[in-house]
Amino acid sequence: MISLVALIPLLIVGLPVAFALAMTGWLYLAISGVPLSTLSSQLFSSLNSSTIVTIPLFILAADLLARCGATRDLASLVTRVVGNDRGALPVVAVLSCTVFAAICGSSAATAAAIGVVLIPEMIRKGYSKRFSVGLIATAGGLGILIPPSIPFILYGMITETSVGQLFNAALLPGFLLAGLLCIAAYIIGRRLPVEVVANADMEELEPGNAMRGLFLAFLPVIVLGGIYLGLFTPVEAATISAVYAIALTLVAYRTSIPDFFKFVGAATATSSVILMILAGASVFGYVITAERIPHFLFEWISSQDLTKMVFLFGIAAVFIVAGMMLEVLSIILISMPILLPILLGYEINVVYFGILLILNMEIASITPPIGLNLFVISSISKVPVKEVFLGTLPFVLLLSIYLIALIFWVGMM
Amino acid sequence: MRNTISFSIVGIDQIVTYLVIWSTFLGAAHATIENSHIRMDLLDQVSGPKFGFFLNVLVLSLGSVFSAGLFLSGILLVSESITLKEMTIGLVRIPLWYVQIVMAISGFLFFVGSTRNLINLVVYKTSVKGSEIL
Repeated sequence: MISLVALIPLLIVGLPVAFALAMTGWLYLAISGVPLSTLSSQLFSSLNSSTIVTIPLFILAADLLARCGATRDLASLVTRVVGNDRGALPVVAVLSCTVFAAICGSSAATAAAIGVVLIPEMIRKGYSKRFSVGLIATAGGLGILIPPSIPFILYGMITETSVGQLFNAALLPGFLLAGLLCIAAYIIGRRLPVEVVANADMEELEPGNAMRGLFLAFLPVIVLGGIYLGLFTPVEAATISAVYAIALTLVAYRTSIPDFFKFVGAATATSSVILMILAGASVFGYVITAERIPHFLFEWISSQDLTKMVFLFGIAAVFIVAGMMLEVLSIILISMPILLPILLGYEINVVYFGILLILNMEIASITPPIGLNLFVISSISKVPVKEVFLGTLPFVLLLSIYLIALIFWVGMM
Repeated sequence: MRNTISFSIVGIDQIVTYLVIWSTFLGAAHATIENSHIRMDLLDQVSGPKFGFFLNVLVLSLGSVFSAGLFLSGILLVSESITLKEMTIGLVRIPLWYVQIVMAISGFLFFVGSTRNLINLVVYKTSVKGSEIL
């Protein structure tokens, strides 16, 4: 138990999350007299699964498309489709995030890729900085809700749930939320005193750029269509995404070979950091299983006589607080081994709970102090984190109402 | 390829998984050297220069200790695999230690990275800034 308590101070002092998780496990192994080789064995076996391959491949696809400039063409294409009405550009921002979310699976990557292109454009057209950054930070969160999603893949691995089933179940809530965000963005956007000016990017849009934008918009159709029609597995979908992104980067965008390898190096670094957290969390999971923490927690919760609905609201509150301090993947990896037996005890559908969890994490990603999207958007727009957070507040309210509705839905099933 | 031209490479998923394991641990070692792992930096942000310096020394020291432990653990795991003549399970049958040795290598690289950053901080008063992560 002492080793478990050590995790919190290790995280607070700023030790990398992956190291803090693994070190907690190591401490437990040392105290319990388990051979030291178990540390390496556990780290190794956590990654020794073919599903893991999807994570670096989706990250590679997203990184390449964001860095080669494909997202600018995507935004221009969506602008051409949506039009140039008052309130249209915020809708373009949400739709561009939705399309990119259906390619990449990471909220920070979606917010960064679309934000780099559309935040300056929105500010140039007269939308307030606060609204522009808040909208993109929130819409970027769609990256983890709309399949394919890296947190869903990890959730599926931890709970031994089919990733395909999770993707199927997430599609409707994901697109419904995107629709609600579009409506909110349009209503707020129209009320702002914005002058309607011709979109320079649209006027200068060459046929070649429109075609390249179409190429990118077509990728989610291939990825999601293939998964839902049963033509390929999530691993194959990730491979197709990566190959498609490589082809676009090298052929359509004529990226130089040195730049291409630089992009691949950056994607490898990103996926290594994420997978290392997964490995560290598996050592931590070993400890909580060996210490029978889920069992004791389940007994305690059972003794409280909580109804399913009260339990779901309580868990949502805990997730939001946890999300204020920890990063999304770490929360899933730390909490799910503990929560899974409790969910089964309450007969809560693990797939639907996954959607609730990811929506919670979407809110967590735009709430301080750790909200990753706040930092990503602040860093690319040079707008202070506090302003970005204030900009997200109307959308946090919308997401919270949506979350409450989903909790009622899951609770009644 | 499997669906369209009925062609598949035997054991490719296994080989790719092993490559991902190698690239993850080597990439994580690089991230240690670059100081770009995901962490909670709230305390670091609100602390003054002296306490911030102390925190960084503490974090890098803990990182060095963990890395040394991982290196030792990796060596033990590999030696166990060699002694027991363990092979990988699946279509590709190779000695397991070929894949597992990355644990010891990355542990060593983690140690070099953490210790180098610690020396730079304590002796030369310079710190490595975290690199951009999407």
